[in-house]
Order: sequence, then structure tokens, then C-alpha cells
Amino acid sequence: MSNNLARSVETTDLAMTFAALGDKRRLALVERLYSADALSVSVLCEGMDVSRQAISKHLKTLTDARLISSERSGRETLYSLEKKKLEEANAFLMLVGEKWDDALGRLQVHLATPATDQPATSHPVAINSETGKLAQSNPAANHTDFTTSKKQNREK
Amino acid sequence: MTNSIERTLDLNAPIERVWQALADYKEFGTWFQLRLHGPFQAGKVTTGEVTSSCHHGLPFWMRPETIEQPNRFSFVWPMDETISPDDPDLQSKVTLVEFTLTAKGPGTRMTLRESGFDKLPDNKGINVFRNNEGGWNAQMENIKSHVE
Repeated sequence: MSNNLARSVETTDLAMTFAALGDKRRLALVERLYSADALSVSVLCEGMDVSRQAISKHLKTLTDARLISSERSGRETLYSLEKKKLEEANAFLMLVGEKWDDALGRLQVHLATPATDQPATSHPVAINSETGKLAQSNPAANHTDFTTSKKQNREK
Repeated sequence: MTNSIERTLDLNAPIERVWQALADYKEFGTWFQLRLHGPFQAGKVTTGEVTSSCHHGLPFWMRPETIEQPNRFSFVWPMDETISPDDPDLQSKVTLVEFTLTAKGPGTRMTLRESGFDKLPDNKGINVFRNNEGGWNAQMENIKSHVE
């Protein structure tokens, strides 16, 4: 890895990474490079349903996004994955994903808590009306405990 | 590896109930830890404040794109809290969140997808009103040290 590349990582651009990854074939290339040290275009072409030219173009996009790097080896150019770059992108998505996991966890708890004593179907949408009656009384309440006690009460 | 977030979740509640938890702005705010000022309308910005402890009071906005009862609810929201809904370059500063619901027996299958990270103007990180849990700051530092 050259110094040049090390420097360029500092000004990395996640958007470019995601744009580069937003293509089935480029993702496939990344996957193949993930489990290999360095591969030539010819090898990367194998098993792909597009022309060598198209593969070269995809490789250029990945190179521009610094997801892969290349070096000459005799008459061939060998491509290898910049795993650090991939890890940055992955870490970002994991972070966003964790936020969603938290939110979805709260949604599950929320759903286990009856919003109203009336069946929910009687208020299927509340996008245009005053829905104060449906609001939770206290958002700060411990949902889990509330849920459990409500359930037990119902079963009695 | 991918360039979007996707989650599929089987919920133990009928589709109408799940729909209400999404499409009713007050219910949405309850589990999303927001206090929203008004109901959702496609194409119209709804503003509010974050209620989660770590970012309590921080202004928030979202703009529903699709409201198709009871199957599809989608909205765009800004990448960070500094972006105003009037930003002339808004398209490149928001991500799209899509909820898709399908009835599955007595329950509901929910798919969540967030996309548009390939348009981010820079790599400041993700918006802080995606609320919080322990370790978030440490993780933020981690990714910061990675990308800066």
C-alpha cells in the first residue's frame, strides 16, 4: 500500500463507498476479492455474466472509491481489496443498524402494550384526526413492566 | 456487505395494530422517542423534538413519502440535526426509510429498509437523533477515528 493511498484514506468518502457498493456485480467482485489476495481481470471475469470490458469498468469504479487497489505484476494488473475501507463502511451501517434494532425493540414492547381499550382496528389510521385518546399516558413509564402486568391481568 | 439497512421482523400483533403504531404520529413518537407536533401527511414535513434522554429536546423533522394503509409507510429524514427541511440541496442530505407490512397468520411481518447513504454530502456520521444507548459515544469515537 502506498503512502498516497494511506493519505487518501484520511479524506475518505463513505458516500462514494456506498455508491460503489450499490451494484450487484461490483458487490460480487468485492466478495470474490474478499477471500483472495490479489486477482487479475481475467480471473475476475470468470463466472461473471458480463464482458471483460464491463468488469474493467466496475473495477475502475471500485478503484475510484478506493475499495480496491491494483498493482502490476508482470504483464498483468492484480486487484486486491482495501479491507479497511470496507470495514469503515460496514461499521457505519452496523451503527445505523443498531439504532434501528433499538427502535424496533421498543416498537415490539409498544405493540405488546394495548394502546387503547378499544380494538385497534376501530382506529386503523390516525393520520388526520385528533388522536389524543390513543396516546400513551406516560412515555417514560417502564414499558416492560407495564406490559407484563397488563397481560397477567388479562389472563385472570 | 450492502449499501442499505434492512431488517425483517415478525411481530406478534395484527397488521392494523402495527400500522397504527407507525402511522399515528403520537404512537410513532412513543416508541421512536419523539414528541411530534402533528399528524403524518404524505409530502408534508412533520416537526418535533427528541425525547430520548441523551438528546432530549433536540429538534427533529421527517417527511412522509408514502402512506398506504396498512402496508406501506415511508419517510425521508435528514442525515443530521443541522439540516433544515428548506435546504435547497435537501435531496442529497436525506435518507429514505421504508416500512412494509404484510399479514402473516395472526401476526405481521415487517420489513424495514433505510437507503440513500450513497448520497451523503460528507461523512460527518449519522444523525444523533437516532437516539441512544450505552456505548454509542464510544462507537461514535471509533468510527470518527476511522473516517477522519
